[in-house]
Amino acid sequence: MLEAKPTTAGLEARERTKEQAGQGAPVASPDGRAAPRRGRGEAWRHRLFLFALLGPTVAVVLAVVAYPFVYNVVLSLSNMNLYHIRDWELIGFAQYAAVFQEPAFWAVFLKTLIWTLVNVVFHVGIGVFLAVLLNEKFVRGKPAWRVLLILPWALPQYITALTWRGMFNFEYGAVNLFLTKFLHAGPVAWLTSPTEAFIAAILTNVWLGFPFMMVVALGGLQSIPQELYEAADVDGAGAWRKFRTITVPLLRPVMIPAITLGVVWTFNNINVVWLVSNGGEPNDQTHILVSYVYEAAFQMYRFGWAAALSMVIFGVLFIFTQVLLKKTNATEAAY
Amino acid sequence: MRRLLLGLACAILASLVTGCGAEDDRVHLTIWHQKTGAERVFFDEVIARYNAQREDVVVEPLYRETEELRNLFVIAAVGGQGPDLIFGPADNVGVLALTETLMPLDEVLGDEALAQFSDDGIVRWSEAAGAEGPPWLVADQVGNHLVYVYNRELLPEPPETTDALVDALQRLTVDTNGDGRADQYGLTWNYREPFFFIPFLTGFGGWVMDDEGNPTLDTEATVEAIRFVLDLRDRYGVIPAESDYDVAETLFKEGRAASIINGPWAWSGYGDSGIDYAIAPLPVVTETGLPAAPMVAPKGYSVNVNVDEEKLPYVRDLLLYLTGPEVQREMAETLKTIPTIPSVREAVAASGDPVLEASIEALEAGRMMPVEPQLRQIWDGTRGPYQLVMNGAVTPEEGAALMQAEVEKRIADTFLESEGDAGRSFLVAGLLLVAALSFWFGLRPLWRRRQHRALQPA
Amino acid sequence: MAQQPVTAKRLMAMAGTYAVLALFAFIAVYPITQIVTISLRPGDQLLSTSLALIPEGATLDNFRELFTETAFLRWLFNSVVVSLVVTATGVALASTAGYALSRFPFRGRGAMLSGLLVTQMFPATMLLLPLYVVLIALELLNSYLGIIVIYTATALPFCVWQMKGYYDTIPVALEEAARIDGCSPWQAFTKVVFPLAAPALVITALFSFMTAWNEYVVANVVLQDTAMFTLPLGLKMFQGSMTTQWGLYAAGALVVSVPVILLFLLLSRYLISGLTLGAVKG
Repeated sequence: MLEAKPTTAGLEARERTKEQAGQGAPVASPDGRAAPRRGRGEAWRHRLFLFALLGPTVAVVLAVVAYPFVYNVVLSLSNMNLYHIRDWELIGFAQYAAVFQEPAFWAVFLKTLIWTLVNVVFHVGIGVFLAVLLNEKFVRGKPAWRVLLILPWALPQYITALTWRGMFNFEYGAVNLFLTKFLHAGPVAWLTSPTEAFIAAILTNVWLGFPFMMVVALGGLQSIPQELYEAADVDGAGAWRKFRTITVPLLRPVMIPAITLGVVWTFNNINVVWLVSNGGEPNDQTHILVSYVYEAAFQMYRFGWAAALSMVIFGVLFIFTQVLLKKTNATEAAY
Repeated sequence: MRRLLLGLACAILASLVTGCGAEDDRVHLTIWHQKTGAERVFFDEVIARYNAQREDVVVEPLYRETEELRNLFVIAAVGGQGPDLIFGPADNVGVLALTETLMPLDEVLGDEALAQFSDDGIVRWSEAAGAEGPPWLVADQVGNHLVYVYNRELLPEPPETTDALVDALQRLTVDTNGDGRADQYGLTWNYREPFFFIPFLTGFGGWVMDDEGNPTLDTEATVEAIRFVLDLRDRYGVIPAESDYDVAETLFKEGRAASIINGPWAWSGYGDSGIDYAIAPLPVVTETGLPAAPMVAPKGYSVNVNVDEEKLPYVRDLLLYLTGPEVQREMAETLKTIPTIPSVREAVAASGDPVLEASIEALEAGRMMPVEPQLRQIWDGTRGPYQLVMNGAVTPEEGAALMQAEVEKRIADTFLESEGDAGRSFLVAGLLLVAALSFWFGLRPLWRRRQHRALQPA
Repeated sequence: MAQQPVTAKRLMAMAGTYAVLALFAFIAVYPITQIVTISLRPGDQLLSTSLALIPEGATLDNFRELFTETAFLRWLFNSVVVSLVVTATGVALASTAGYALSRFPFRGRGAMLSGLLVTQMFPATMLLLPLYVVLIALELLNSYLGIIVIYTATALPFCVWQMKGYYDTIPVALEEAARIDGCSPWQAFTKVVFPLAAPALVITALFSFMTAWNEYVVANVVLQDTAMFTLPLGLKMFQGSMTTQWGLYAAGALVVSVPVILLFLLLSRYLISGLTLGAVKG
């Protein structure tokens, strides 16, 4: 890429400055704190500078998100469906009531929680595990390993999800062929029984998601001073103890934001569930909330209901992240 | 470096905005269609020919998957946009008529032009008048019907009854390498999709809905039909343990299944794969004496309600060309479709083409697809229970009851008014308010404190 | 660096490490080899009971057909243009916004950071309908401008967070020094901080690029002219509801994936040093 040269230089420079400066202090401000003491012109110029930096981003994000969001809030209070696609009107909170009265809602909600939890746990677990292995000094050919392990992230999701669906086929799928030929186990009806189909979707998504966490963890590991491990070696600490006492606490501040994002993305990841289970098969048993939204809106034209459901999803995630971020800061303050 | 990048970006952006709208005073007509494979190749040729004929018109076809086509069309047409014409199966018509996204064809073509098509070539519907409603779709083919396709190298004569079918299939299912798994199956088809279940249902005397559009799935016929399909797999072992559309196609094309149940869209593909195939109507069910009748439906064109006066004559001309005798005859020859203009259909029937003759025979045994929009819910609602039955998770009786219940629920969800129930509304609003308040006073201070702390220099 | 003695236990650990890495590398690569196999298979067959990588009667016909008989090159060009524009705007916007969020304690800063995260929480499928209405009103339907703005907005929240995280690791002292030397705030940013943030910029660029390169749902709604299609839409054309040209699809999928894989290959080391969502204390 065009940036290649300055980048290398920048990287080295950064390493140097970090050594010189010691602990880099995030979010301290030469300008902001000093601003009130300067003249009014200076303050205005500062404000203008800030505006120039932030304005375009705020404008673009608001343009794409804000109006649709408000529109959606209105829809969720309306009766828009197949019969009222043109002449819909506001009917209050009936759609929200209908969402909570939907018999399948709580089951799907539970499935979504399982889906999110299992996925994120495995993403982070496998990701950190591989990162720790890759960070071992003796491992040769690190760049090659790294690229191989990153591949699932690089491929478009809609392609890999369909490929995995093929691999879960009962008779021709690679998964069953492996099971029967090498493990001498019986074939599993992956896509036709509810539990197995859900597991198949989870397996696919675990495969798709661990590279991201691995990369984040690798970045975090590089900033852990090697001397800490060497000191632990001198104390005769085993690998597990070093992992628990050095790696985990120092990796946590890097992983928490990634995990927060991971949860939000996984919760709302419709592609994998939809494509692997072919739209919820069997018998709509492999839905998570977002695929339920999609089905309601685009197969049954229940736009009002779907909008209300998506507001519920939004609410759940909003509260979750607020709590998680609050917790994170609490932990950060602990050391 | 950055300036360079930005410059580049601006240049590209500028070219995007200006470059695409080349000078062009021809009339642009767009058609969304869902034709695939050989159908699409043929369609593209026909369009190319039309474009070459007409200097003042450009027709732009765009392929979309059936479901996507309908969804995007509804959204676009409600927004006052969308393609001028769409091509699809008749079961789209109910939804499109309800959403008022189509123009009645008597306004586009006039009654005289409509009269040249056979009755099964025009789809009429309205909520009030049912099949007596205004015409919405004009078909270039009728059919879409499932038939029995067999590999003549393995099976010289098609069975005429289900008893004969079972005998033949048992003979044709062989395990050549003795690993306990069949290496050649007697029959295969997409038995995960309810559309492919219909012939069995009708063969045992059932149907999907009554005249008012109420589902009629929890019947003895459904149970018997399910049991028959299950027997083919579990008792006689003559169909694969799991088979969706792709598996079925692969097995038949590789010669590892002696026969397949599939529709006109797929037949020519078998010839291309080197299979010596022939088609026949599905067998008569021995127990009932009824033919296993497939669902028959026209496929054709509808006009967007947003087409304006100026464009209308062009749309009319294109529509008459696409559904005209010349194109229909050619289509019958290449794609083995059944024409909707009586004179053309007669000529084709007398042409001596064995595939077409068998297809017309199967068509006559078939049953017309209902146009009611509830059909959509019937497909979506039966699919799940049907798959559960096939997986052995529920009995055929439970399966039939589940189908009925699921379809009824979906119909209620989709079509019934969601009235604002004031009392419940207030309750929910109250709960939400409480949640919001507790959030504001409970969590926000914490959040603020965090913000405050984050701003402190470390 | 103290070299540890090579003991049996240590050898075991090393062998184990390699074994685990090899296993996961295999799992990561295997599905991709499946796509390779399908793309080389003659005819339109998705399924086969063979586990061989190179199928019987392997042929490059699908690739030949892809480039000569379909509009694939056209779609490739469209995708490259759209993705590059999104990359450029994404980098420009995220690098500036991230800087402001990292350095200046203005009012609403925390809200803005949370707000960016909040945009990720709404099910994207429900944004389609209103976006469609807006695009019709602005006459941006069937234009690249529409999807470019949407893609940029999609990629921005992550990119801004990520840039902010990286700026946090760059000592403020550097800008202070630059200011004392007479630089304006803008110069301090562009001349000092911006070059230092190169690894993070690379990630931002990569992420923006991928967002645009792989996106299907929005493009499907916005673009209505085959000649304007991006690659994912083009690929989808090979996939019919009843008959799928699996060979073509797989061949196309491979060609779509190659540029992204190459980018990852080239950038993988920046990926590690540049991906900093949170404040790295080090």
